[in-house]
Amino acid sequence: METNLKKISDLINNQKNIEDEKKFKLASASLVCTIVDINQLPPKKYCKLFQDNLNLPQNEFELIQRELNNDALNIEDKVSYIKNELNNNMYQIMEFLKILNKFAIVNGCTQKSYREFELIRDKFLREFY
Amino acid sequence: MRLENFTILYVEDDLTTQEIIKDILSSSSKEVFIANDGQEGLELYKEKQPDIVLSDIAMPNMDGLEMSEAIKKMNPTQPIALFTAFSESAFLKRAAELGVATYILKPLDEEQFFNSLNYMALEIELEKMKSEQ
Repeated sequence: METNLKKISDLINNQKNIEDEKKFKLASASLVCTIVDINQLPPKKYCKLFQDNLNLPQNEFELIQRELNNDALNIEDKVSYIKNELNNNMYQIMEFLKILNKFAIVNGCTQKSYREFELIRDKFLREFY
Repeated sequence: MRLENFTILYVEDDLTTQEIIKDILSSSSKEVFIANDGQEGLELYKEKQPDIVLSDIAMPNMDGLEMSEAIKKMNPTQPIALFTAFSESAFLKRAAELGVATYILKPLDEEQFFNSLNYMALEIELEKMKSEQ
């Protein structure tokens, strides 16, 4: 089933305002940037990927990219924040992971990107295994 | 361990690897079906309808990708994982296009292997729950 962040966001009760949405997108984009080197992706392709999957148009992505550079990335914190925003709902978490999985494999899977995806996936799911 | 409720089709032409993985899977899953190449795997898939398909990529007669393509034609939602050393980039691009989204890194890390299998099992359980709602 095709999934994207918009569909997930629409189902999350506590994302009531733009700031919450922006924070959620920033955390999601941080994880994606851990998995893929966005500078290695063809610009057109990543724009479409971010737009389609994370509801991030190019101008918004560029803003978030600047913030990402200033944002101390702690993957545990991002995972825990996103899980909390998804109300620890297993279905939503799996939908979210499908998005990350797509980013990991869409441009031709590399060992590094897939391994990063696995590490993040297992942080989300360790108590469910 | 969620895996004990699931049947697995494992397709591998290297008999030494096959024996090792078979031992690991037999003790943790409901039932394991073994095939030596993609052609055999496809026949066994039709007969047994396993919950999860695990396959090597490079094999004689029919490779893992051709088999995955044939299985996905019959059942687009069938969970399939491919063993890979990530050196077959053209194959992996094609696999992603076919909807194969899970990969098992070679050489095998047992913990990671089980995490990937449990992830697939979780996906199947949730899909089942969703379709029952």
